Amino acid sequence: MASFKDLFEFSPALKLKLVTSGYEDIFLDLIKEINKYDGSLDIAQYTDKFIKLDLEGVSQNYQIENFSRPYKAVARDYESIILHNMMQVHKSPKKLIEFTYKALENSALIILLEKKSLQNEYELKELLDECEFRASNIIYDLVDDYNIIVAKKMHMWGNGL
Amino acid sequence: MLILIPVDSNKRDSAEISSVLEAKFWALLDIDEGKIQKIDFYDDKEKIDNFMDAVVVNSDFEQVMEFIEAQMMVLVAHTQKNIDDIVEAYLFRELHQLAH
Repeated sequence: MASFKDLFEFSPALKLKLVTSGYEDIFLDLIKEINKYDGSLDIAQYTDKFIKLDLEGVSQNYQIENFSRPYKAVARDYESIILHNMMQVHKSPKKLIEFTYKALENSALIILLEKKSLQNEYELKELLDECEFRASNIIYDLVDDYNIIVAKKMHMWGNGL
Repeated sequence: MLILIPVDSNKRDSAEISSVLEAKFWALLDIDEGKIQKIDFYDDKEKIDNFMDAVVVNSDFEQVMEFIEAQMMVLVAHTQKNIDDIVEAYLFRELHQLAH
């Protein structure tokens, strides 16, 4: 059966980022797989209750207490960025997505995980289109209780960055 | 456009740019339509609740990694000291990019 980690193409020295408002174990398989390929996952936790993780494959794990600030990412650094339960928590979700656009490499993926109960998947798909992401898709049945919205930063499309 | 400048005082007219580590205040300038629309002074930059576009520092050897990680443009004012001169230089594109 397909799982969350199947969304990624693994290659040596893969670099991913997880931006979350509360770490959950659904990412454990992904971290294990990244570790096999000598890659790294950076985690930014927007939360009051920071969770320490002692897992191989996690290279950065830090807390952000101010929910209107960006996370740490230099331009074009990541091959995928996962925003987990962030759209309701962050005070400027649109700016956060625009920031993510710059932090991604060309043809890289943005992945939003949002609780099914929020029923905001179409709204978010539109927001991704507005922020110049392309080929957006909604995946309903890959992770229990979550809708996954995936989109791509396309080279020379939109901002042409 | 939001521009951050480390300064030595919170008085709009007398404040001069200072080094990042020695900054007593941080001036956050909102520049739009070629004018300063608003200036806010903060004693701690962690209190700023926004995504900023650029930071102006006073030399090439300042500690700027945290700004680069926030995807801010880093500009250097070698000769300009007060806020108005820096903004004028910014508008006329006379501020330098970081040299290294």
